[in-house]
Amino acid sequence: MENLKIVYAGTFLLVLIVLMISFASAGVGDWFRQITGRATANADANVTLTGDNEVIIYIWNSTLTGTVVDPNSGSYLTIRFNVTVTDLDGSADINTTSIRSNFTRAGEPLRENNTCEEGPTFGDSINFTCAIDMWYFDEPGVWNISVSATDFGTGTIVLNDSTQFTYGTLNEVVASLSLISFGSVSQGEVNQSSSNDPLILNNTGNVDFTNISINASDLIGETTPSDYIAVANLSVSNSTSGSDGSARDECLTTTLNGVTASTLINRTNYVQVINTTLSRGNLSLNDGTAQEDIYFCIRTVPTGIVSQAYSTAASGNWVVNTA
Amino acid sequence: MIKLSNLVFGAVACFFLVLFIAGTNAFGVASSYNENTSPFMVYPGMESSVELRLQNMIGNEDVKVSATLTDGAGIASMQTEEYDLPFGVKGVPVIVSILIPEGVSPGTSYSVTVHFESVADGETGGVGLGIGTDYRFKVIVAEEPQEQPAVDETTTSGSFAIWWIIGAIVVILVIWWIIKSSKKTPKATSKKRR
Repeated sequence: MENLKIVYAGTFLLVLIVLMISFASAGVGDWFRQITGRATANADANVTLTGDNEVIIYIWNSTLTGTVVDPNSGSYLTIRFNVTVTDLDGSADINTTSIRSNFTRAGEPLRENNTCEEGPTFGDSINFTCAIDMWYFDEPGVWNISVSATDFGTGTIVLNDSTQFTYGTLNEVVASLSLISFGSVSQGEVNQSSSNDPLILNNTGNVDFTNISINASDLIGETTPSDYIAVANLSVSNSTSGSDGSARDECLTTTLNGVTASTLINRTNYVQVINTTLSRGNLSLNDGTAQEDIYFCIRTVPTGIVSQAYSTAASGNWVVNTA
Repeated sequence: MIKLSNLVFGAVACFFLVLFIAGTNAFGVASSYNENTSPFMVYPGMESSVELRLQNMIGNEDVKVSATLTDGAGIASMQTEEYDLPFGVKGVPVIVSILIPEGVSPGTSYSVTVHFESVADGETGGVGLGIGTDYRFKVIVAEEPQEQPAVDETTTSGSFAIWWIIGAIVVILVIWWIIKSSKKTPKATSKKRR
């Protein structure tokens, strides 16, 4: 009888405690945190594995958040961020040569650094600065930050991969020429290709361009401006080998073997250079990656115009546009 | 060793780049937003701005660049301006203002285009070339987060404390009752033995 009373009382107490907790807690985890006083939320990621002796890695992604992470044209950008590694057994237990860091994004190459620089020690913690190079052709968007470390005591490798940063977008194309020349031509001549093309366009950013177009203008006589070569006499293409054996591809007036040239017009609109794309990529591969060649042609040199230099000095530069 | 190979790779890459882009004519436009992977998120009725940043890091020449909004999608506006970019400069801001009308449905998407092109006098002796690029970014209208009803923390913590006090009193009473009951029981047993 006495034992029964104790069982009843104990059950009553248990039910009472559970009821009280339900008024203020979202779950057992919260209840535990209320009792222990531990924080229930943290803006930055903090990974702790079970056991007291393993390291804790804290990535200070705030060193990246809110900052501008724009790629550097045609080069790499060194991105630095701080990491704190803590070992409750003391900072001497941290293997300071074990810190590894990398950036990852699906479909992109790994960007990593296996030698994070050791900084000051405080208490059980050591600060490290990791620096990873991101290239101009790396895809813009969210990249994952991963850091791993270990200690001498347990040898357990702890990984923190819960933080991210956003890599910026860069639209940039570099042209190899600032002036296209046709040398000396005679009135009535046909299919005169430029003497210094191709114009090589290099994609030194991280955007895929699908449209290359040209805003052109007439070539005006430099001494007698009333005479000019109408731009409609000129054409462009991204190919130059002679498809029909007589005219080069950039001079074609009709499509031949899938190759064609675009006829330019005077200022009113951009004319697309047919079949051109300019994807992002590693230019140093030197295999045409992230490059496009453009060839120019005077299909017919007009007759009845003065023999003189014709140029865009008076009509303004042509603009090669990427979109 | 890894660091060294990175360095060597970087040096080789830069060497090739210099070869490729000799006689250059370039500028870059950067931003945290684009039309594919990083849209600019806004709420209905929100007024905001997107910063595009110009850079001139290649070619060793100063350039002048004009910026024109060519497709504002009815929500974007900016002043057409020219920007001087000395060689080596990075991060020159171009601000595009964004105003989303009230009542626009969440999920609505806009595509904004700003056209940039180099500004230079025409060249003598041939066809002078400039470079242009269209910078596009997407603006997506998101659902505005519901305002959380203000929680009176004093009341909450006060009621929480009251529940704890009531609970404590009940626990004390129950313990007192158990102790009292257990003290009574032995007396009754001893009487029976007599």
